[in-house]
Amino acid sequence: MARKLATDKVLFAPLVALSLFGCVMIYSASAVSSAQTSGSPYRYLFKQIAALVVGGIAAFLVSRVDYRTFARPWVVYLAYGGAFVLCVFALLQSPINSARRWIPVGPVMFQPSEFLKVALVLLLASQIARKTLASGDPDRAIRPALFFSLAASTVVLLEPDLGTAACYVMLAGVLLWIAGVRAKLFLILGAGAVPLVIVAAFAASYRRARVLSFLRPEADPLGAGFQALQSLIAVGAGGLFGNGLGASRQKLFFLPYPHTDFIFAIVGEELGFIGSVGVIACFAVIAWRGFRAARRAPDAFGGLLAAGATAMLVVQAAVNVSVVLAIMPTKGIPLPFVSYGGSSLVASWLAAGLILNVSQHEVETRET
Amino acid sequence: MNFVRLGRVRFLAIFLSLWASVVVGRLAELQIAEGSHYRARAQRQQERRIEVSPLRGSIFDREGRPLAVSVEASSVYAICDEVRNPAAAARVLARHLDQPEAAILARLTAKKGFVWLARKVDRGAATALAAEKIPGVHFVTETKRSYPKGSLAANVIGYVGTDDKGLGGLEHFYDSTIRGKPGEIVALTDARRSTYGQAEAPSGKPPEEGASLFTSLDSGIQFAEDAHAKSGVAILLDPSDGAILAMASAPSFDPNDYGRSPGEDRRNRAIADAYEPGSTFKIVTGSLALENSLVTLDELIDTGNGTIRVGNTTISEHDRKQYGSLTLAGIFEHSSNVGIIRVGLRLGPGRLWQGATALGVGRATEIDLPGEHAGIFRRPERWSGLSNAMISMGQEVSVTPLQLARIGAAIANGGRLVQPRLVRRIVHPDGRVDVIVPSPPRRVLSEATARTVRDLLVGVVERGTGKKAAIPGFVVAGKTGTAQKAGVGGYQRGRYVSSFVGFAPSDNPKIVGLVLIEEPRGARYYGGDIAAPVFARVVSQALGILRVGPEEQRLPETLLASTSTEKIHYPEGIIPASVHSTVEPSAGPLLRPVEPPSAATPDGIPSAIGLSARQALALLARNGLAAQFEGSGFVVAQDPAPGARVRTGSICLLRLAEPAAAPEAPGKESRDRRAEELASPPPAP
Repeated sequence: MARKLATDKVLFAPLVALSLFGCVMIYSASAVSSAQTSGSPYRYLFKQIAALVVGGIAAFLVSRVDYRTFARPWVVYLAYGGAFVLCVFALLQSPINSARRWIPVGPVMFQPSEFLKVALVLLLASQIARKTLASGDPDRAIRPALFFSLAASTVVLLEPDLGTAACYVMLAGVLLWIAGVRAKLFLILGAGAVPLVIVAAFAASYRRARVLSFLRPEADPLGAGFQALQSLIAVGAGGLFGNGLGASRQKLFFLPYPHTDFIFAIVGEELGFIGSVGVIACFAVIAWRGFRAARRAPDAFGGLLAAGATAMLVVQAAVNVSVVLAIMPTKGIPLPFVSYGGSSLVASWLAAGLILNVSQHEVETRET
Repeated sequence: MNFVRLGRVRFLAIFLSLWASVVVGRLAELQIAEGSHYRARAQRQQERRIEVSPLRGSIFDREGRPLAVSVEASSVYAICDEVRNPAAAARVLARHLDQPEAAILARLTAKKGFVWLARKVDRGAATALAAEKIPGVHFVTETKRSYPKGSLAANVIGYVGTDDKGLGGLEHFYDSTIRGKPGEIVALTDARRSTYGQAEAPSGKPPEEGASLFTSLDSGIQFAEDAHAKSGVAILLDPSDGAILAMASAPSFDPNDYGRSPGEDRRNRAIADAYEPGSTFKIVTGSLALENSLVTLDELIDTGNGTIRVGNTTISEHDRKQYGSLTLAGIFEHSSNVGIIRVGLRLGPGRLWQGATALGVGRATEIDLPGEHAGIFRRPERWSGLSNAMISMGQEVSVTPLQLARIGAAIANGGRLVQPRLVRRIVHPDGRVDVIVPSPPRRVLSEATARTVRDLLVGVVERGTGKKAAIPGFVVAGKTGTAQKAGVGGYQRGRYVSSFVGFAPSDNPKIVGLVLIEEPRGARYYGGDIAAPVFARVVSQALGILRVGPEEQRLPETLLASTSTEKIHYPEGIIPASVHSTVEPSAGPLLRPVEPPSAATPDGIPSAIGLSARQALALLARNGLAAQFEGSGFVVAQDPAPGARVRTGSICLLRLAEPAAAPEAPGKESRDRRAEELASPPPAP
């Protein structure tokens, strides 16, 4: 009933394009500061390329194995459990920038919460698929889905990393939605989540500052609003066509984290409106092909897996870009494939590998 | 069948599409709609405008000798964070910059960023210091003002502050003209304020050089500073147009290092200070009385027993002498207070005030210098009963030395008040030249009055109190003045201001000179003893520099040898053959209108018989010949004879004789005669 298809080249192309583009932008954004801090302008570029190689191999392997293998409980629990334990282990490390998100492995800073995203997608897809198939009622999957996603959220909140925690909850929501959980239950859950989000947002003083500065970035242009303002200046200064590749001036210490969370601002400054829209178009293609694969998946697990992985990539991108453009308060979510960060890149490619895997399988009966 | 429901996916897709369109809309807003706003904002924080100081224009004297020039100099600054070893750096810097090591170290460690170490050091020191290659020590090229003549005319030229702003004298008055426009380098800077490159050309602009000033000053005229006085002023000006030839104020200062002199020394006393003129003011009183026909030259004025009672006050002669009856000439020569008061009282407050005001008393001369004092001259409504008398002899009135010199010029030039002026031309860097045209001289005295007073002043130098102002070879006119300085509670004993104002040569004055010496030390304090000799020295030197020949020297041998004709001021009556247009046959009443008889004779020397010396000279000059004279009067004979063929440039010898029946005219002859009359001693009382 299912048939094996070739790799979805339409999906593969923007993934590769974004990854290579990311390397170029990371070099552009980091060369000066890298040269000043480490003596070499290529430090971040080389690390990103290494991660890309690892991510590519991982994605290739993941896409080759029949995805149904990943539905097996030992795979699912090992992945989730392993990533979860590593996140707890990260909490025991000495803080970097007052956050305990990373585990140093030799020269590499390993961020397990990124892998937990993929593991969570895997776990939720298998859990929801099983519960739904067993009972025929997707509502039954709510409880385990909330349990695992909130457990993951709790541990990363301790790092603290609200953005990633919200990402986990978002993934659970998307998968439950795709599975067909009644809309009424979403409204109830959503209503219950609002006070939680507000409490979480204002519990930590830095988050409160972020939210307030988002509401009025000009109020404190040198303090809390500085990052948002510098980001807007970078994007706005790019104009229609940008200052040219490598010609960003905002990367020269005006804009903090120009090669990580705010790389899209440098894209906007150097490549203008055209380049920025190009990046968004790539993610649009990923969304289109990802959800298309989910729709056509031969089984529930495949559909949920593809949908979850696609949501993981696309929603992160949407949030990241929204933060850069000051539509949303600062979160600490990277732009998948483009932002500097080995863990994020490898995890993103793992997710991509899962989508590519599912996309090779298609139900025979097609809708008219 | 599909396990994933279409509706659910479509809902997600729509949600994400909406999100994407919000993002793209936001991008369009930021990058297209508000792009220029953010671009400007980005430039503001990314660019650093560094001002480049322009090259300040130079100041030259009348011969084109530089009085003030700008040279490039290096300024040294440090970025303290970059200095690795402040102690070692301070040691090296102290050696090169001639500053205490501790002071430099303090500056290097006090701040984190930019700090000046030395401004405008000379090239040698900067080069040597640059060779040390101290990390964190940088150089920037600035301009430094240099005054090659040092303290010469420093009070007039002024000086320039570290920020290239003119702070005194011409430097201040013409600051906006000679400063030029600063340029700008737009450097790109990162958020740590370190510059890393230069922005595109359109945003920067080169500095514009300032215009240069060509003044009427002659730097060849030097003044010896008189150490035996508190202060002194000397002014030389051209009476025809008010051009200042020299202006000195002592004590002076070195504008190259003005910081080491007290501010007091930087003042230009010639214009900034007003003094009671004393007897030199008798020129004003006398002139006005003559102008109003209140006194005649042969009238005898009784000076009585040497005192005059005005109201309750008795005023006596300066030396308590008794002169008896004096003519106006006698009053001038003896500087009789009683005599001039009698003359001044005839004028009355109204005419005295009006006339003196017309002569510029109490009015700024509007010379092109900053900080001019207008003098103090109260309106008659505020005069006391004594004022008319006191002002007549130069008290209860204050004038600046320049105002007094200008009054001298009015006598010298035939009764016209000139506007004193220093700058004659402004030459812009693009070659444009602004010629400064001073406001035309205003007639304030009739020519006859001026001439009469001129002769009175000749008498003062030849026979009176101003004998020490005499210059051999010239007829000098002038008036002495000695004023007691006013202080709290009246005039102060032992503190005098001695002055002399005069001009030479008397019959065609080229230079008006004023010398004022404040509080001379020693037994002598009279203007005639203190200021007059200085006048003689300075003016005779200046006459030499301006090549004004002595009046006796009617036939200079070297006349034709000189090639630079334009800069030479020839004595009246002597015109070199190569100058064609200077003499007009119709000048002066003495010159009868005579048709040049044979101007167009191409085949020989024209006849000069019957012509005056001037006319003969002009005629010969038109024919390319020089003249040599014998005797005075009109040409009676010439050699070679008329019609003779000679080479161009030959000398024609002319014999002159006074005709028996020369027409009587108010010219030089009658003036000489009047001078003889004046020379005769006044009748005894």
